[in-house]
Amino acid sequence: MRQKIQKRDNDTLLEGNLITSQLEKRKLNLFIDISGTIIIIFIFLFPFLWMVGMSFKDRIQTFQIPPAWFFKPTLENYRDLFSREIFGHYFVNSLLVVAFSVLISLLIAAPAAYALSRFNFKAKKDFSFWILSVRMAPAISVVIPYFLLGSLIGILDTKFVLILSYLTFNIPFAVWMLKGFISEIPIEIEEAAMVDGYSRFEVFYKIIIPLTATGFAATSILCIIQSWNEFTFALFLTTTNARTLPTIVTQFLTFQGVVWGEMSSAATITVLPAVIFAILVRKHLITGLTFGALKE
Amino acid sequence: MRKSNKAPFIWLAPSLIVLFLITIIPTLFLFYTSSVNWELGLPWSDRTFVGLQNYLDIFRDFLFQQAVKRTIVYTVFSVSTEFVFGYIIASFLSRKSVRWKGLLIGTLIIPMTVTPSIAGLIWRLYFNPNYGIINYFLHFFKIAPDWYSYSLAMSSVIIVDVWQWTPFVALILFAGLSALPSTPFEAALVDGASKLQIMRYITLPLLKPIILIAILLRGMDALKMFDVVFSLTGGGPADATELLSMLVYRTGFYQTGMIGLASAIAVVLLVVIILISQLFIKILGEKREEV
Repeated sequence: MRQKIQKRDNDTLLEGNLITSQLEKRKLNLFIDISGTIIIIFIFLFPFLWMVGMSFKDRIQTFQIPPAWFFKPTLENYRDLFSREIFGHYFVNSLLVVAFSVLISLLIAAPAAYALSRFNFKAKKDFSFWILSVRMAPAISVVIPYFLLGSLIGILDTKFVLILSYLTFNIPFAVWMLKGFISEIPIEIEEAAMVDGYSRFEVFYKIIIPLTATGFAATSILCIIQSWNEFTFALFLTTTNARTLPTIVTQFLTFQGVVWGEMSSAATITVLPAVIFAILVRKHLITGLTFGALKE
Repeated sequence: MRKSNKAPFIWLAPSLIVLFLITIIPTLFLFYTSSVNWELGLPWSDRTFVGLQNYLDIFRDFLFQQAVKRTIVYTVFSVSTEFVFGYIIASFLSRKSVRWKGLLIGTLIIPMTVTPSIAGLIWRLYFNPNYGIINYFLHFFKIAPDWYSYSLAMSSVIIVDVWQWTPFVALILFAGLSALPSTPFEAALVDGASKLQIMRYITLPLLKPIILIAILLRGMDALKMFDVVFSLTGGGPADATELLSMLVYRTGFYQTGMIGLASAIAVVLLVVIILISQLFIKILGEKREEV
């Protein structure tokens, strides 16, 4: 018993300086809360904000030590960046590849997700788990046959091959996400509609799709984020025509050291859409990233 | 109500056919190329079938062994650091008195959505020994590490991974903590358990499946890490950060163009990750049945 008390005392001691009164305990808690909040924001937000800030600095300010905390923002870097043809080209490629790949994925995934959440059949579990392991396959392994087959058929460096390769992770992901959303719709609604003479297909697009609209939106946004950020396929399968934004790093790696400002502006523009989208779907982010293991 | 047994397959057909074409066939082709001797640039007809020779070669290859070791070091260090910090942050977020939780969660979402190749590039600037912001902060403590050096390059890659993915672990564990039942904790408090005892005997065991899910997901991602290393260190200096994916890139595409060898390494990586993913799937299946 004494040991126990001793231990508890030690724990209290660990928490801070001798806690004598309730008031001091409250002060200590406030201190922990405030310093914790500051530390988290400093570690995780500061590097991001610093990048954005750097994109508005002129060349001298970027290299200034001690760093320029306050400065008159300039748009020079963005002007330089947009004057490079390559940037606009990459940007448009990114948009097109992401849009088509996500759209096609949803079209293909939606019926599969419906079947997996509504029908009972023997291989159901095996099929859904097989789909999940497809999603896990490392891009660097999948990209080799894509590169070789692509060059044999002659489709390398096209948006088509990129869209195709993005389906390999978007379809499994979309099936898995949509399955979760569809399963939340009570089956009674469907049964009632079928009694009213709706066919399965009508039930699907007149009832299920409208009812899971938010689910579809969240799924497509998560697909957009992963496709937008994809690097490996884009690096291997394209050279000039179909390059996307994440591969712009290869442009900067060669003459690194001179154009930090421009680099940061390219980084900011590439990163910003993904970040905004992620904050929009924050409620579904963890569900998505854990493949439905955690529901919020 | 169900019309026939064939019904589900009509719904599944599009995804089955497409996934067969875009995943099964390429994978089979990868297995095939891992058994030929062929160099990039030669005519495709010049390939020779060598059976398992490529696998024997890579397992004997010093570079491969080194890359395996580095990949393991990288995975173990980054995932365990992410778990420890993630757990601390999750516990912090679970404190009732913490305000601005929305802001904190928003903050945590940002690193994990930053395009990884861009994150590598930007941190490359931050790590710069002369103008980088990190050494500026460190000079207050009178230290000036050379992050680009052979001995620290791996740490820099791990730091970027930890920055990007600790939030992911933290948010998963936070969601897990929030969903725990309160009764065991109340009972423990009545019994006079200490905070450490509660963590050791109640929180961690209850959280186990979620911890495993977080660790396995992070582990698989770390094993296949490519983009951050590519733009942060390019595998260097002198192979210091040459992880398995980088080795595939260098063997097959960048330097030598030995497609057979690169495919063999890629198959090894693929098999390891698929095996781990089976474990993940098993836990996921069990968790889903509880619900």
